[in-house]
Amino acid sequence: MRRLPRITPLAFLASMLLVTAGCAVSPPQSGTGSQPDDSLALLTAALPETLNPLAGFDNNGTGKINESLFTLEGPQNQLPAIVPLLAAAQPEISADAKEWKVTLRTGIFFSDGTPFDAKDVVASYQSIMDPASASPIAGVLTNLAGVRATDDHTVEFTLHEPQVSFKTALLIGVAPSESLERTGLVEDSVLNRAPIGTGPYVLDSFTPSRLVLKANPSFRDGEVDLKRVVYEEATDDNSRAQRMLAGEFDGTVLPPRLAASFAGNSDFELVRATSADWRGLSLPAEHPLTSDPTVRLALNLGVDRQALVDGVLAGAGRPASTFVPAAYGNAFEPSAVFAYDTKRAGQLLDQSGWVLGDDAMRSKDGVPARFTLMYNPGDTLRRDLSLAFSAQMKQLGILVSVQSATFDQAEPRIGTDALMLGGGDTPYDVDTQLYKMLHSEYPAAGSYYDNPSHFADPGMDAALDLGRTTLDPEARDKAYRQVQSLYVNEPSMVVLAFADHSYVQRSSTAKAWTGTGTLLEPHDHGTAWGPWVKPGQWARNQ
Amino acid sequence: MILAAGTTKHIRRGRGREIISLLSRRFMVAIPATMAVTAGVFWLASIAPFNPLAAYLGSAYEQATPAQREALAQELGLNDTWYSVWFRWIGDALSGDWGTSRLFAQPVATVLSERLGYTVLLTGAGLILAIALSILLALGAGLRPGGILDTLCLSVVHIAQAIPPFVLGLVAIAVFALSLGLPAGGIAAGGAEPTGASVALHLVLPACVLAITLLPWLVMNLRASVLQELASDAVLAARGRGFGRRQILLSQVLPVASLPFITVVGTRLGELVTGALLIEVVFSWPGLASATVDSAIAGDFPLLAAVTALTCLMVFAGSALADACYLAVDPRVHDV
Repeated sequence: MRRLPRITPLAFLASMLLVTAGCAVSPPQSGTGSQPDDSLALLTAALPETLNPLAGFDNNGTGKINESLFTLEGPQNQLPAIVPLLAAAQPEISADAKEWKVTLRTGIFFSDGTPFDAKDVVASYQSIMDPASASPIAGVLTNLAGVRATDDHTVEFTLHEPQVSFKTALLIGVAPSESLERTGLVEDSVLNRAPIGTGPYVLDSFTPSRLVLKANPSFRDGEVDLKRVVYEEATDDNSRAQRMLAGEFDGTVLPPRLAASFAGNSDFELVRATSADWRGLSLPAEHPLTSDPTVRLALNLGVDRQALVDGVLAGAGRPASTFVPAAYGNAFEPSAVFAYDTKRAGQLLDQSGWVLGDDAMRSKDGVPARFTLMYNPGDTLRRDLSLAFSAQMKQLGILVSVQSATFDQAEPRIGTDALMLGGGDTPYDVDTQLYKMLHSEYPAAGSYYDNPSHFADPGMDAALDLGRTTLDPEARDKAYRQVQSLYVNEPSMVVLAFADHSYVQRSSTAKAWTGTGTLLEPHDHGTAWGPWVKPGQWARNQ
Repeated sequence: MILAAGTTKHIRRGRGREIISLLSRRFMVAIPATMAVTAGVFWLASIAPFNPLAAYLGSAYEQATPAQREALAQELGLNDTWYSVWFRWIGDALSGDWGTSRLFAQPVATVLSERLGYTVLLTGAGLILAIALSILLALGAGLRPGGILDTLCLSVVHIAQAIPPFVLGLVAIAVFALSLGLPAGGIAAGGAEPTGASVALHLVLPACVLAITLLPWLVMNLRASVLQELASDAVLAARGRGFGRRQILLSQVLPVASLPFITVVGTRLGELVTGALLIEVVFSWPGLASATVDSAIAGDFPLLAAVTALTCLMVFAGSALADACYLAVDPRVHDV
């Protein structure tokens, strides 16, 4: 061991050299793609655990194997329309928005040859609602009282409460009733590994690191152009970036910063999908500082959202003042924004008695202006946003201490400590995006994370209820614009940003096909989204 | 070691019996010990801060009301105590039913059979490569202690020990995959079906990286034994009889020095799996090691227990086989 000191500098230098070599981005090799033209190879962060739509696979109207009654359609930066897919037409909704009648298309067959009819829809929805199946998406159907077939091609849904946005629940994939006869846990279902659907693709193989879909030969509109979609799993972000550079794959999903490193490279194109995926923090109702409405407003005015988007999100996002992004069109209120104004924020804090001390920090009657902000330890984006927010608040004289906390640790403390939250899991109607976050029934009627700041305002409740129950689209839009105006006068949270999702696609793939556009995306995303959300509709460019 | 032929045979037969007795004794210990270890895993997983219901529901967890969560936990049996879950599991496991993996939505036996082969292939190739390399390096170093080869070999193993395996993996991808065209991960070219040849080609980088991470322990250990043996009376005597250095190394030093080496290799078998874990993640290798971590985080008890039991048995088998080899190659040893 006497030799050790002499070789250590050498070892150090050599390892530094190796590490630096690893960090440098090497040029990609062009033309190494060896797969045939009509197939698509995607590198994915995580393969689905199950392919069963009733267990939550691909259940936003975008199922490639199991289609839903309705699907999403629209340009990439607007709220997509919910249009019929297995349904023959738009649903007939009763005046009280509690009875929904859906007529089904005829002449449609599952990939196993059985015909699609009302029995399949009823069995699928009942299977999700059945507590014995323990379906992870049962929560989507809490307002559904019952579903029945009135004839072979008509289904009637009955709701507990009026809900115009129930249409978003019609985006769940439908499985054949024959495979749902055996009741039991959804995790034991054969559909998890052997799905049967009406969609443009069927399962080819599903091995530990690869999921391969192939075109359904008996698809109603004929076999689709893109014959084969391969999803290959690579969990590590850096590995995915490297393997994408190596040129074997057509696309992958990456964190914004890694994706940005592909920006100047002509072999690849950077795709950013707009989302309603917001991040923001709750303001605890039982905390002396954050329960004060004036302070809540001051915090919203004193945060530089653009700086968070540029710094933390690497530009892949948009500042958010409320839960409603501009993509919601007429339901969006353009004036409902918080201008970044530290001076006014300071004045508001002074007004409410939180004054600056000698140490440039605020206090009121000897109580220092401080609160704890918790984040989910598994989510680095929420961590970085929390730290950046804390740094900005220090400028205002408020000490925000950032702490990681698991669900189990955070939930009991949600009344006294702030929590960095994410939302936009159900963005396809402004009602499902907003209602639980702002209605005074919550959080009592919902989960710990619904309306976590215990905001209660009769005017807000009335506007939200009107939007939920009225069938008049203009009255709805107006109600939601009012919700946003009310919110910016008396904010209950600090919503920070909408996080856009970054994808990298091989340029030649985008050139060879039409139909590679993105949709407005929910919180959950991956290679099932992005430019590859509807491979069944891709058509080859001549 | 000049013995009459008959005596050798007699000793061999005695050895065989000793080896069988050793292996059966170890087996008797391994079974209850493995059961105890799986019980420990169930207990640890139950007190770990991972939330199996959150893993099951994914992003729906945050939207579930306390009542919905309670109903689901009841339905899925997540509220049962760890020992009742363990008793159920061990009963089923002994009768051949390894349960269903919640994480992969298929029977544990299927998950194991799909993945175990890949892990065995990777770790086996890595281990063989590491043993071969370490013998070469240690002998080369022993040839001239303090010489250029020795210094080089020592610095290589120190670097290998200093760099975390996943960094080494990413560096290897950057250097060998992006510039030299070796496959960067997976088991087949993007979009293509895996074949024997593609698996072998894709095995090259991960197996080499795994071998390098194993190298430091093996080389340092073997080198120390070689140096120690070089100073022994037997080597002095051989030198006195005029044998060359190379011949002494191969016929006198290596056989003796390899004895402690066998033990090291045996005890490293268990660690091999943990070392393979990071490599499997970086190279997207569809093996069992990466599934282990996922199953622990997701609270997937049946899979976690099966993998732990397997790893545990592998450690026992590793040390038992190493000791059996010891018995087989070293006539001086009788009781291990």
